[in-house]
Amino acid sequence: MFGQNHSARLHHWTTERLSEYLDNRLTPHERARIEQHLAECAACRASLETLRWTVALVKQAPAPALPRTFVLPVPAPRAQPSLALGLAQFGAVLATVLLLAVIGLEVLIQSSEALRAPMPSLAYESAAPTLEIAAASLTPAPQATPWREATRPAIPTAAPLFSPALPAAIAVAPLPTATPESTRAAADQTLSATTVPRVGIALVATTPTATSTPTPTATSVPPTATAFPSPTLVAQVREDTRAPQPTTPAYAVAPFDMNVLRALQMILLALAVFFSALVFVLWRTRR
Amino acid sequence: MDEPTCIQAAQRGDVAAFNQLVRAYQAQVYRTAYRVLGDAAVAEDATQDAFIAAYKNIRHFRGSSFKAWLLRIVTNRCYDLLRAQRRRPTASLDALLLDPDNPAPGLARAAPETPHEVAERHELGALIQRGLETLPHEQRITLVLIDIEGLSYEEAANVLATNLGTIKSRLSRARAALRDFLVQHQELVPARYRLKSEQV
Repeated sequence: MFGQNHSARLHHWTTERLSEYLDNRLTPHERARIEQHLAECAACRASLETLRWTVALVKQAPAPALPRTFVLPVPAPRAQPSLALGLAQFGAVLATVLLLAVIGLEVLIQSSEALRAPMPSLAYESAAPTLEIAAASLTPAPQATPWREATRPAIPTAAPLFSPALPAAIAVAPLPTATPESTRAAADQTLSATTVPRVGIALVATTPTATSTPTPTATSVPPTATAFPSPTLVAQVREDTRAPQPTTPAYAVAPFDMNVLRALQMILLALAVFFSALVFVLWRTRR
Repeated sequence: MDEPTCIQAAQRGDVAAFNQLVRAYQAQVYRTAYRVLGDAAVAEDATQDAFIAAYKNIRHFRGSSFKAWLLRIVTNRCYDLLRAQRRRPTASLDALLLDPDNPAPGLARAAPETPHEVAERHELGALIQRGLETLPHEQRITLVLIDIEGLSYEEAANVLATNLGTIKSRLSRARAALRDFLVQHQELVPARYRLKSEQV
């Protein structure tokens, strides 16, 4: 009984290890034990033979041919980032940002003016420019005072803001009997011709004494000339007498000319459109 | 370029270097997939998937054996496909292998043989493939890796991420089961491959 159990356990143990025995993966002791059992057990010898035959058959099985290669497609080198495209993108963004900034500036100016003028429509209808060149009108010059002494220093200096033709016209056509009203009317005309904002520069020429030195041209009156009692240019803002609020805060200079702002807007808009179109074209050509 | 250099280059995204590794191992990877799956088209897909997965994950490769790492990827893919096949069984493999006029297409010619010998080898290959199909997946893959692909027990344990004892056990059972199948279908074994012993 004991011998049969031992033989059965050895038979099972051997059967379990025939695979390793074939591959020579057993310790010498295990190997000796299996060989001892194989010498006694025909079934285990047969099992070993068929196992060896099976392993040999499997190794002889033909290998399948490779149906194709499995190499991965090598990606094409990536296109270098285009400098032109980058610049065009930068230009489009910059032009758009500047355009928005200029539009915002205009809105800001208009809103601040609207706050200062409670009735803007009425003011435009009735008054035209609310500021004018305060020339000799502030200090009514006597008749003996040549009008040029009063007006000349004022107009050429103010000319860049207004029409450049005005000083010349006045210079070549002297009006000895010019009254403060006529000068004022001329200034009003100039102001109304150019849509200057209602805040502007008023140049006041403090009229010197009657003994003035005539100057050859209207544009060559240096304020610091020693030989000439030069009129002091005082920039001041004078509220129009017709304005509803005579005590409006004064500005030293006009912030912006609206025409300049609008021209700038047009230029920036054109640039933004141009650069955007350029970006689109370059982007399409890269595809 | 040697293998470690190729691996390092591939880890930096060099596809050409990775393709050198593909050329070195594609036959073994496809063969394994074919033996495990038993279908040329499915094995082709599994091989392709395995190499794509290997390329995507090669940065994480830190092991010592690239072959083992690659075979682990393809065997895992085979497991997935086998599980899918189990859910949707098809008769394509049996039809393919049992058709005497179409003996396992894709099987390579070995040494110069007579047409009769070639036919016998193809018959043997088809029969072994049928026997492999009868094995549980784990046993089948273990037998393919060790007896067909020639991996050592340790390499197979590395590929299958298991211990040596499990490998020995699976291989022993797989061989015994395949042996029983072949003995049972002795008449289908080509004559020159038959067991000469009368002990069976």
